Amino acid sequence: MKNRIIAFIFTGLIFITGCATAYKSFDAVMDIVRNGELSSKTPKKIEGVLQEEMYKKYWWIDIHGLTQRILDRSVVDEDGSDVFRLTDGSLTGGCSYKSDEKIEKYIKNVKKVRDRISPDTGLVYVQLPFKVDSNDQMPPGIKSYANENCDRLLAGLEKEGVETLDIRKCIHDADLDWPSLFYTTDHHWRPQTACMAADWIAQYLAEEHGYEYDSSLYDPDNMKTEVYEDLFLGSLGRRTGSLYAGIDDFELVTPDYETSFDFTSYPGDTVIHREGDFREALIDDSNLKKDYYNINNYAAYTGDSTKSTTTINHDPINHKKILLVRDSYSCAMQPFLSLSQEQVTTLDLRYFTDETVIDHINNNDYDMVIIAYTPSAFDSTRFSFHKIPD
Amino acid sequence: MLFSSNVFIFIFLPGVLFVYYALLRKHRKLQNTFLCLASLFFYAWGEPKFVLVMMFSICVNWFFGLMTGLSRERGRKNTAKAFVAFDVLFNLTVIFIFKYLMFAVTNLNRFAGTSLKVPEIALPIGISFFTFQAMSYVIDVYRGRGAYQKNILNVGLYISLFPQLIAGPIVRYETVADEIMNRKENLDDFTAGCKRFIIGLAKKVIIANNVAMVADHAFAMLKGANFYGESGLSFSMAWLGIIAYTLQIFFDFSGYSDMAIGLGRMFGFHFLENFNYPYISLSVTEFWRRWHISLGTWFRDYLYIPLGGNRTKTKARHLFNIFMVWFCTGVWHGANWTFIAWGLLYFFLLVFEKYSGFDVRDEHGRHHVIKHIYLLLVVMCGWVIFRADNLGEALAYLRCMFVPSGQLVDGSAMYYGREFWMFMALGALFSMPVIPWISSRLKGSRNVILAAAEIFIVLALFLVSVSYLVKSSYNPFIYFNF
Repeated sequence: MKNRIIAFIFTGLIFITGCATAYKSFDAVMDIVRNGELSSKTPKKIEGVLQEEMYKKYWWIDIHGLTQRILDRSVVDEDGSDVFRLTDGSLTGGCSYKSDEKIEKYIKNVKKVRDRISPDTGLVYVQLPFKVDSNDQMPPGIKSYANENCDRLLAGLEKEGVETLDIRKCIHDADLDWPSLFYTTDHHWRPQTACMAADWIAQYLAEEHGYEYDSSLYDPDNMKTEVYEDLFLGSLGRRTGSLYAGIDDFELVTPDYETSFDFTSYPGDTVIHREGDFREALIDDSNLKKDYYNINNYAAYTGDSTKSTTTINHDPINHKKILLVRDSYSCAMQPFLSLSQEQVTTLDLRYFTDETVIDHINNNDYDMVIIAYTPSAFDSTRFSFHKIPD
Repeated sequence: MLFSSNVFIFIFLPGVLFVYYALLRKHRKLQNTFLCLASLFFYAWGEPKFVLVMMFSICVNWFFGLMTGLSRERGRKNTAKAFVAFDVLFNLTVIFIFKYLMFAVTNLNRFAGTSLKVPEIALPIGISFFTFQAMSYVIDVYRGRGAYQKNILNVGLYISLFPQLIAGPIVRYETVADEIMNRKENLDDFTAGCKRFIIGLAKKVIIANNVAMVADHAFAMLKGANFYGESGLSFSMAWLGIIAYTLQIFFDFSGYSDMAIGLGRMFGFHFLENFNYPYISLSVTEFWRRWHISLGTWFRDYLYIPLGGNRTKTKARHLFNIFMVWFCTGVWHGANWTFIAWGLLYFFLLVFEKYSGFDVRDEHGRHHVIKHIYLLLVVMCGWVIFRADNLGEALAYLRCMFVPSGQLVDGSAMYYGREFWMFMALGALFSMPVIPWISSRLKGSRNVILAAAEIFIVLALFLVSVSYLVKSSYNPFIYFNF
C-alpha cells in the first residue's frame, strides 16, 4: 500500500508538472525547432527552455531554499556564482580578488578621464560600500576581497591626484550598524543609506568645491517613510528562494517637504518622462507591487538600471549640472543627490554605448563628474569609459 | 539524456509511460518497438551522431546472433563458434576504435618513437556498457542461455533499453531474454520501481552531486586552482576531497543503478543488483563481490572462466588469468594509464589476499576494525588513482594525503567541512545497510505512523531532488570514460 501511495503521487506529479511545463514552453520550443537549424546543440537549447519555463519553478526554488536552511548551509551554490549567508543572516554575493594589474588599469583610466575633460569640470571618484564590511561576517573559510580591492583602488587614485570620497569611511565615522544599512535578501543598500550617501556627497561638494549645502534637505526628520511589509525579495533571495533568508520589508523614503522635478529615463530605445514632486516624478509605482520573482521593488527609485537618466530639480540650492557615472546603487542615490543639484544625469556603462564618456562630458558642459561604484561593479566595461583616446 | 534531469523526469518518462501503458497496452510487439525507438531517441538526445554507431552495432550483433542461433540449431557448433568469434572481434574493434585508438597511437608515438597522426575521435557515451551487452547477447545465444531474436527490434531493445543504457548495470542477455517477449508488468513491480527510482535519484542528486563539489575542488586545487586567495592542496583538504570522492562515486553509480533497476521494473524488466554496500567489506576480495557486481560477474563468466579460471595446471596460469581480468577491468574504465594502474593495484591486492588468506572472514569478528580500515584506505588510494588525470597527479595527491606539509587545516577545508559535513555524514551512514537493518527490525509491524513516515520521507526526497535540478545545481556526469 505504501508503495502504491508513493507511486500514485509520483506519477501524478510528473504527469501534471510535465504537461504544464510542456504547455508553457511549447511556443518557445517550437521556435527553436522552426527557426534554428537542427544541430547537436538543439537538445541543450530545448532543455534550457524547459528549465526556464518549468511549471511552478519558484515553488521548487523555495523547497531548495528550505532544504538549505534546514541543512544550515551558509552557501547556496550555483555554477560559478555562489550566494553567501552572512553571520547576521543576510545574503551577499562573493567578491573575488582583483589583480594589481587590473586595479592599475582602472586607476589609469579614471586619471585619463580626469585629464581629458575640461579643466572647468571637476571629477571625484566616490567609493560606495559593499555589503560585507569585515570577513568576520563571511562563512568560515570564505573571504571577500571587496574592501581590499577598494583600498588599493583608492590609494592608487589618491597617488595620481584624483579626488576621492570613501563612503565606507563616512559610515564608520558615523558609527552606523553596517548590516542594517543593506537589505537582507538583496545586495543593494536601503534607501535610508542611499540618502545618507547623497548627503555625504553634498557635504563633500560644499567643503571641497564651494557648493551650497542645506542639511535640512537630508534630515531624517524631514523625510517620510512608507513601509511595505514583506514586499521585497531581493535578487539574491530570488536565487535562494524565499524560505532561505526570508522576505524584506520595503521602506519608501521620500522628502516630507515641497519638491518639483522632471525625470527622464532612456531604457533601450524608449523614453520615459515623468514630472511632479519627488514621489510623482522619481518613484516608479509599478515596482511597488508584491510579486517576489517578477518585480524588482528596489527599482521603485528611478526604475531599473538604464543607459541614462536625468533629473531636473526646479527649485535647487545649486544650479549645477552633475554627471553620475554609476552602477545600480545609484538607482536609489540619484533621487536624493538631486535634492541639492539642478541636474543629475546618470550613465550606466553596461548599457550606454552612444559615445565615449569623455565625448559625452565635453559635449554637455557638466560642472562635476562623479564616478560612483561599489566593489562588485569593478569590471573592465565600467572602467573602460568606452574608449579613452591616448 | 540524464535520468537526473528535468527533461527526463517530467517530459520523457511520463511520455513513454503514457504511450506504453495507455496506447499500446497488450500489444507486446508494438510496446517493444516503441521502447526500442524511445531508447534510441533517449540516446540521440545527448549524442545525436553516435546513435548511428549504436544502430550499426545493433544490426551487426543481431546478424551474428541470428547466424549463431541458426548454426546451433542445425548442430554446426564450429560455425556457431566462428560467428561468436567474429562478433567478439567486431565489438572489440568498435570499442578499440572509439575508446582506445587515440590512447594507443599516442603511446606508440611516445614509446616506440613513431610519429603517427593521433586521430581525434570523440567517445560515444556508454559505449563500454552497450558493447559488453551486445557481446553478451551473441555469447549467451551460443551457450544456449537465451533464444536468438529474429526481430532486429528486440535485439535493439535489449542493447539500447534506456534504463541501463548509459551507466549500467550491464544486463546480461540471459537475465532478460525471456522478459523481452514474455514479461508481465504488474502494479507491485511498477510501484516498487517508482520508489526505487526516487531513492536512486536522491542518492545521485542530494548526496553524490553535493559531495562532488568537495572532491572536484580538491583535485582542482592540486592543479593550482585558487580558493579565495589560497592555492595548493592542504593535508586536510586532500583527505576531505578523497573521502568526498569515495562517497560520490558510490552514490552516483549506485544511484544510477537504482534508477535503472526501478525504471526497468516500471516496464516489467528485472535487472540484477549492481551494488551491495561495498564499503562495509573487510577485504578487497569482498569489496569486488559487492561493487559493480554486473561488471565483475561479466568478466568472471565471459573472460576468467573461459581462460580457465582457477582450474589451471599451474599457479602461473592462474595468476595470468587473474591478471587479465584486472587489466581488462582497468582498461574498461577508460583509456588512460591511471585506469590500468588502478586495475593492476587490485590485481596485486587480490593476489596478496588470496595467497595470504586475508580474504577469509573471521567468524569471531577478530581484526574486523583493522581489516575495515585497511579496506577503506586501499579503496580510497585506488580512487585517487582512478580520479586523477594522470599518474603524476595521482602521486602528487597521495603525497598531500600522507606527507603533510604547510598548513594542516586551511580555509578551503574549513569551508568545505562546514558546508558539506551533513552530506558526507549522510553518505557515510547510508553506505552501511541502515535501511535493511531498520526494515528487519520493523518487519511485520503495521504501524500507520511508520508507514506514513516512510511515504513522507520518500516523497520529500523526490521533491528535494527535483528542487536541486530546477535550481540547476551542480550535476556532474562521471561516466564519460566508461
